[in-house]
Amino acid sequence: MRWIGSALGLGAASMVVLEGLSRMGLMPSFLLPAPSSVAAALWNNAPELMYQSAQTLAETVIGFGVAVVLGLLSALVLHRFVPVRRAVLPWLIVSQTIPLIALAPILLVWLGFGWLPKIVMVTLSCFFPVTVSTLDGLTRADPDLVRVVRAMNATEGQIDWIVRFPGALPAFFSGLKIAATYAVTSAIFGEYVGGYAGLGIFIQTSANARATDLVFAAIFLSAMYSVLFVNLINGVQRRTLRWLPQEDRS
Amino acid sequence: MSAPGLELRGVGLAYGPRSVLAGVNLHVASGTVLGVLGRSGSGKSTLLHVMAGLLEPDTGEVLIDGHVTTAPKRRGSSGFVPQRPSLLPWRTVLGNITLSLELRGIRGPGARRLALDLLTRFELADAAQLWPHQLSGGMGQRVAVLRAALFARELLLLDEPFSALDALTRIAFQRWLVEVHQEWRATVVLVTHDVREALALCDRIVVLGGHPALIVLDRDNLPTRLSPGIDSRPLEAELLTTLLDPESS
Repeated sequence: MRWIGSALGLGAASMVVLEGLSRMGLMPSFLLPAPSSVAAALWNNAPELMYQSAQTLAETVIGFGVAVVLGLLSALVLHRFVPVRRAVLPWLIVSQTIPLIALAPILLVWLGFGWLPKIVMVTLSCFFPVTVSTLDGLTRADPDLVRVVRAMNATEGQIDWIVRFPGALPAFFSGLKIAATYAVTSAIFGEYVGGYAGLGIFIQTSANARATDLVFAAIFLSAMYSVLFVNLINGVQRRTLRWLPQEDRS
Repeated sequence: MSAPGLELRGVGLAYGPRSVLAGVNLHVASGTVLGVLGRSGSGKSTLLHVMAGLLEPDTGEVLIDGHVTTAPKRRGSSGFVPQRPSLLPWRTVLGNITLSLELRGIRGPGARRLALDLLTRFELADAAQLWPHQLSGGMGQRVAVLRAALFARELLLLDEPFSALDALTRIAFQRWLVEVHQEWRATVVLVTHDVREALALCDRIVVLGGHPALIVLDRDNLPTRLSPGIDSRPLEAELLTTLLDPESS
């Protein structure tokens, strides 16, 4: 846990420096507001920020959930059917080269300004890491373990259930954590491109009004939600993978 | 149920252009221990995989109790222990042992009781709730052998089970294996690269690498298992000579 202390220390030191620069008039507040101004903006606009956050978090959780389910199913299909894997995997990789910034306006045209394009945006950005990591875990199953269970006359389905799925869990959780870091920002980006509510809309309207303290307050919240999300997954991972040596569980 | 005999007739197998096994003829009598010696790459593990039904030979046939079998038929008729510790890391020792029973359709408290009885009999009951990473190498291999034995105690196929162990653990494990064998009178095929180990544990020793596989020694010519005071050096020398130059024998 020593790294948490170091990280918090660095963060606090940066805050002190920024605060000092701002108070000495070396940093104009419309460019980079003092941390105390951001804290005040957070406090004074808490109800509004909570309301917008609820929208963003709902989109994030739904999009992330859909991505996890689809990612797991895709990984299973790609693992089980090698010809499908050979045909589909290169296209999956190509799909990741399409920038979300190009896709977002098209999603708006196709799906409107409501929740759906944001959820699709989150799903699109989270699906790939979950799929690829899980598939990697499934294909890297320990061949000795597979042989032992196969020698006991287990079917392929039983080998999957007994050896491959549990063996792929560490890789699955790695993919999940990578996806979690994309999830919140993808929802915010989706809102930013076009929508009625959410932290993305809040950031856009605040930036238009040159209220940089509000923009930074929303950015701070978005970062905190991502950290919370990753830590939540870390907690589930530690509980699920309690069979691993302690140092390998997160 | 008595331990089955195992016979290989003219078994050959190649990986692409590389021939790994060619014309292997072997007979393992019921309740005996066959040692398979050979250099690295001589096909020892492949031979065991053929016996376990993990591979189908390109030529020849494998008979269990006098009946010709195919690889799918052989699967499930032996307890197989690979070279590396092969416990499922996400199951406790007890969970690993009950795996053998689950795949035979025995589940629940009955399976648990059977597994616990076995662990108690072989002084591993204290380890029942441990994860595999919490076991020593020797303990892990003992659990792997017990799991294989619980699945099919009549025919055990062991692929260098001692190779990852230190010298003292290895000796203790060898003695333990003799006890297990004496209790169940299983038919055992033990792949090893250790001449002394083969001399100490086996009724019959073959050397792979020559064509055909050479049966070098039978029980009648072997010293009593693990007996101190018997000079096994001439036999070791004979085996080493065969290992170094199988074609000359």
